[in-house]
Amino acid sequence: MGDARLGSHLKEVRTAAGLTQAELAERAGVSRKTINTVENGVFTPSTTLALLLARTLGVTVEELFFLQD
Amino acid sequence: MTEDTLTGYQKLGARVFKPALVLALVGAMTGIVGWLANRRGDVVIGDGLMTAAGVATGVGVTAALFAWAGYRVGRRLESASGRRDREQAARVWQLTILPMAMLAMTAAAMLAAERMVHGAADGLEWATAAVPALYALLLPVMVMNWDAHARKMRKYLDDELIRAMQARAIIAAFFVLMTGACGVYLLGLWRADWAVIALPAVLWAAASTASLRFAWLSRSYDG
Repeated sequence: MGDARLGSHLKEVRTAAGLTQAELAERAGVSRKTINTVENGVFTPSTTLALLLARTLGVTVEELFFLQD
Repeated sequence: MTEDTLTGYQKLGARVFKPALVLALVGAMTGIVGWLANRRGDVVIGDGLMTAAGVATGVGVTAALFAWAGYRVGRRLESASGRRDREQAARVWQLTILPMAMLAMTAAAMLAAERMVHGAADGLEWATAAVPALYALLLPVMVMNWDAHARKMRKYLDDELIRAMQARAIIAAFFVLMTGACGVYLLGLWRADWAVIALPAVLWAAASTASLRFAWLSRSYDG
């Protein structure tokens, strides 16, 4: 489910926004587990979910996710 | 899920657990009495007592398992944040406990199937032997959230991660089912009656794989 090529700044952006995983999950309409697995690179989110998370945090998708070299 | 529901889970679990254990204990003791009666030559009384003992023990153990799970799920749900997480945690507990409860029914179905293939079956044994066909479907249906409760709660039980876990659970179950079906087919070429008796175990193994794999994945992703 995870993809080693996908890097994530989700945790940093979320904590900078002062949100817990549960709060972000509630706002984005997903489970806390989903946020946890995306942050830990266990689960690769779809384009829709990536856009949803970016919109919820007020950033672009590129600020949340990047391709690792 | 409301706080009342959570408290209800815990209260019901605490209330049912002890009576269920007593029922299982009484069933076990009745089984011993039945066995002694059988040894003394009272076959009809002994068989009757042992059948009643089997039903009582099975019901008692199953009820105790559900009560324990209910108590645990109540406590677990209290610590889960948000309704979505609570509903999903409750579903994972159902999927953990059901395969264990169904193990007793599988054993009963195999015994009933054995008597049926040897031509000594009554209506109850037909029904007992047919039960695995129902739960073999029930567990995958619950994993896929196709049951009535899940359809009502789709908003909370269906998300991207859940769908990924469903796919992995069903793939694992399909592998177990195909392996089991091939094994039963080969067994049936040699002893057709044994193949029929073994089928409930294969169905239970495949259905439980879907259920427990999903629960395992869910628990492993809890951070």
